This record gives sequence, C-alpha cells and structure tokens, in this order.
Amino acid sequence: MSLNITILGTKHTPHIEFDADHQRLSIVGDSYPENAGDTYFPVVEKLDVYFNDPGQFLRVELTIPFANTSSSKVLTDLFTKFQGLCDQGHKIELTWFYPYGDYDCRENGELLLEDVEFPYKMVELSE
Amino acid sequence: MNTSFDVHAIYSLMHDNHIQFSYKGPITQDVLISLGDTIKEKLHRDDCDAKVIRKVFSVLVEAAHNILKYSSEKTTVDTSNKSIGIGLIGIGKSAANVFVIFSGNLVRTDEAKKIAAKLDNINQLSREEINKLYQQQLKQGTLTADGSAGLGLFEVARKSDCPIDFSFTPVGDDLVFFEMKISVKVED
Repeated sequence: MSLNITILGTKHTPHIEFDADHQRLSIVGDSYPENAGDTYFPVVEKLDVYFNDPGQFLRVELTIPFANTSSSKVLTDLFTKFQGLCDQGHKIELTWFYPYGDYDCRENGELLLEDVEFPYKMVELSE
Repeated sequence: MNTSFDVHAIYSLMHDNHIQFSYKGPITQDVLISLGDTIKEKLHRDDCDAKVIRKVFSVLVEAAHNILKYSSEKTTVDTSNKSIGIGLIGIGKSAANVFVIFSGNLVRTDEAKKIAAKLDNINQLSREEINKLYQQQLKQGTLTADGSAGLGLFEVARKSDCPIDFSFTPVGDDLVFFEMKISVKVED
C-alpha cells in the first residue's frame, strides 16, 4: 500500500503532500483551522508507518506564512517527533521557507524549531 | 421578529465608535475566513503595515476560536451536527493608530472565574514573561480533542500592545456575558 498522501489546501489549511517514494514532505499555505489535530492527523499517521522501517530519510519543506496556536502546537509536536526519530537513527533535512522580508514568519519558525537538534535551514523566498 | 428596534441606533453606535465591522452569531470557520479576508483587504488598502495586519488577524483568529469552542451559547449548523459557539466579534479603532478587536459571548459563572484569573495573571506579566509562558505551554502542553493548545489567550497577549481589557456582566442564572477588547497599535 502506498504511503503517499495529498491533502488539498483550503483558505485556512495548507496544501500537504507526503511523497514517500521520493522521501519528501511539503506543507504550503496558511494554517488556522479550529482543530489542527484533525487537519494534520492523516499525514502524521502515514509518517508513523513510514518511519517504522529503520534508517529512513525525509526531506521536509515548509512554507507556512501564518499559523494559529492550534497549528503551532501540532507543528511543535511534529518537530519533537522528528527529533525522536533522528535520535533513533533516521535522517531529517528540514527547510523553513518564509516570504520575502517576512521576518515574523522566520522568527515563528525559529521559535517552533527551538528545541530540535537536527539540522534545519531558514530560507527567504524571492520577491 | 420584533421590528421595533432602532437600526439608526446600531448604525450610530458603530459609526461613533469607529467600528469597521461586527458580527453576531455562530462563529463558524467560514464566518472567520470571510471576516478575516475582509479586514485583511481593508487594512491592505489603507496601506497598513503587513506586521500590523498579521497581528490584527492573529488576534481575530484566536478570539473567534475562543467563542467557537467556549461560548456557553451553542448551535449546530449544516449537517455536520457539530456544536458551534455563538458570540459577537468585531474590529474598530480607539484612536487613529490603534485597532481594537472585540469579542463577547456567554459563559457560565464558574468558567468566568477561571477566565478572569487567567487574564488577571496575564495582564500583570511582562512581555518577556508572557513569551516564556507561551513557549513553555507550546512545548509542554498537550492538544485537546477539540484542538485547543491552551495558548489562545497568551497569543492574544503577545500581539496586544496594552493589557487585555475584559469584563463580565451577569445576565441571569449562572450566566455572565464575557467581553474582551484587544488593542493593536500601528507602528510609526
């Protein structure tokens, strides 16, 4: 069974794409649902299965210009999960993209990623 | 419906207090999206700084979700059977450079006491202390089944440039009207 999953974005939820075949997860768009747990659950479930195999690699690309508190919590929990996976020998490469000149978005990414030890990059999108 | 109410009075109240919009009813996600879009467009047209627009929008989102989840007056909309809180939400200006996001909804008396204690505590903290508590809750808290992270009021306080103005008005047996006004300053 394929682990690939695409959750189409809406006005208040991001476009989420997990391509297990190409070891890539991308989340793009504003995120302010009332219950981010519901929004992200289907992909978190697939990620759990993906990381059942040892020594997995995942490239994570995030472009989330706006996140409400429910989403920020889900993302923080996801990053904590990623850290645990890295500690078990998996490899994660994460990039937090932020809109041109949007240092609030950059700061928010840094705050959510504050406790992780795996390498991540902050990348400013072009204008 | 009784039609004897005074539309002009509502108009004057909104006009005199520089209220740009106000909505009363079930605060569904659709309502939030359209209010959010409207205000973002309006602020953008007024050449408002992107930083301020985001602050205003963030406060609006958290205030709306507070009503959706915690108003004790609820209804179900559409076929989802989901319970949606009813309340009042809006935005106005208290000065040329200060936006005020306001919300109002019914809560039970015991809930009101908890909210008051939480807001009283937040209001006496410094910005640094609020940020610290926000970060602590972000990392150590748990998401509830309805998607609450216990962060909403901290987030509102982080975005607000003044202490959160709040009050409670008794409206009957065990019910109080909880209102909150959050000010966001336009930076020069």
